[in-house]
Amino acid sequence: MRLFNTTILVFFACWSWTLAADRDPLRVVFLDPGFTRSPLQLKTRLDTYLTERLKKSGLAAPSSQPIDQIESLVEFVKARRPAVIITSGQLLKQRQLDKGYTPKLNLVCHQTRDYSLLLLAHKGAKPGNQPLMASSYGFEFLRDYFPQDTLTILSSSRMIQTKKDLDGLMALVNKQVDWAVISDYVFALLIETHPDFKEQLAIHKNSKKVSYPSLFIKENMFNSKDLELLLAAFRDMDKDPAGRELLKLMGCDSWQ
Amino acid sequence: MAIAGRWIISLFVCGLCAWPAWGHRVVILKSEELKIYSETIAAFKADLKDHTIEEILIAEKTQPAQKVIETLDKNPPAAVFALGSLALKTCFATTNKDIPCLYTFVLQSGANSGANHGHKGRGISLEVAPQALLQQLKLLVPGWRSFYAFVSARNSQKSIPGLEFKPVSGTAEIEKHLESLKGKPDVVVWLPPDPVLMSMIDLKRIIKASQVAKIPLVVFSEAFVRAGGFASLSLNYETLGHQAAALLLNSLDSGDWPGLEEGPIGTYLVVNRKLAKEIGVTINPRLYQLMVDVVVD
Repeated sequence: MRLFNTTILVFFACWSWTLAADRDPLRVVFLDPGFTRSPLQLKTRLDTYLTERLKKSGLAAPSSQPIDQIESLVEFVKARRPAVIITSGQLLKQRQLDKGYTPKLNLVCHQTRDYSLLLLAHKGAKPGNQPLMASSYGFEFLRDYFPQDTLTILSSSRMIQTKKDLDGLMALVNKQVDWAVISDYVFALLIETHPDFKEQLAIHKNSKKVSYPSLFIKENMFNSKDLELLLAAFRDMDKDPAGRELLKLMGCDSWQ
Repeated sequence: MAIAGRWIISLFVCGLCAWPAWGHRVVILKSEELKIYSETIAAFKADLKDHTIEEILIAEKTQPAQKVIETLDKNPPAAVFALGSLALKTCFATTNKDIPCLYTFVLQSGANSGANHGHKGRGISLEVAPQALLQQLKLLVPGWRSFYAFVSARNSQKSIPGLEFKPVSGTAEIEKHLESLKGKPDVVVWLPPDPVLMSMIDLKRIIKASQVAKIPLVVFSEAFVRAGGFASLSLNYETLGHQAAALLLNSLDSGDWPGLEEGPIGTYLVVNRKLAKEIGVTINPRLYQLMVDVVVD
């Protein structure tokens, strides 16, 4: 009898723990490490925006947690199984984290969904013994997206993390660094008006395609009404000034 | 035998625990407790997380410069990261000449670095180089061709290709220049952070004159853009911390301290979009996304 009671108690404890985990009020939103360049600002603005948007609906606003390192993101998703993940689908699949999540919306950035990174060097300069590299992307991110034969350059270079691709490009043009990593669409736009950059700089390597982040929702997390409210908050982001500021921080135009 | 084995394992475990402390010991020396130092220090520390970092604040009452010099001489670190003029002077005043000093947040640091008292060092300037400013402005509006900078007569900065430095003696003279440039669509005027000039001029009047003449006026801080300037380009304090960490680690590894001052890599561009529309300057909307940190509407 005692064994039966204990079994029942353990069962109920596990059941309520599971429920609690599923209904965790801390519905953490993650952001893609590729574009999380001002994490604190992004968190504050996203939290405020979602709280404001959802306050009349009765749906608790998710609290966001920007993460700028791939490994930290992977660990967090594995351990906490957050309600909403914003990241590249490619990354989720590669790290087998996509199970139990459904893609709902895509972030549309500058009318381009995918982009590559370019590893650039100055044509006239030979990298020194202690090369410097400027990049707005962290080492972990670059390691995942550039081919194996680039790893020596990446690991032997001292990284200077910049806020914008442009800073890296300027540092390279002015020979303050030996290498710079910038997105191909930024480079294309800049050489359109400044063809001299193309003459000065050499593209050493292209990365794999980087997908723009998608919004993934944990299955069975929200009822259909709440889900629609949450998605509408993202979809309408480009329709009000606070949302547009937020999109600007993400470097994108809209959620669709 | 078993005891010896345990000892070896214990030593190995202790060694593993002590691993992070095997890096360099670096002292961050602060002239003052300033908010603008915090972003730089945070980025610097993040990049040196495998090293031992100590922060020392020079404070007249509790930690005067002389006491800091004694502390550094007594227990010399691998390097000092000095923030501000007082911190740099303190670092250079240590008797132990083997303590290298990396510095930033030092105004007119050229004068200071000359008096390094035999210390090894290198620095990062607080000012965005005129060349870098010119490059960014040309990227922003490719149609801009003529760039002028107003400086005080005592300013020693010389013109560089594409940027002409005009020595002026006051507000009226700048107003006159702006009036003569009126209606020229490819002209930009820059007010660099020249303390002597700033003490002589009325910035409000100059901003007004630039708006009347429809000449974009590039100033040196976001506050002046909000007050009606066209744009400002200053440095990004967080990137400054990353740059400092990279330069310090390279110098510690190679033992090479070039004694020179480099320009900052990270920039912070603020553009007054409302004014741009008013004076007829067209900026590609995508450039706002890629280049501009703050848009003033």
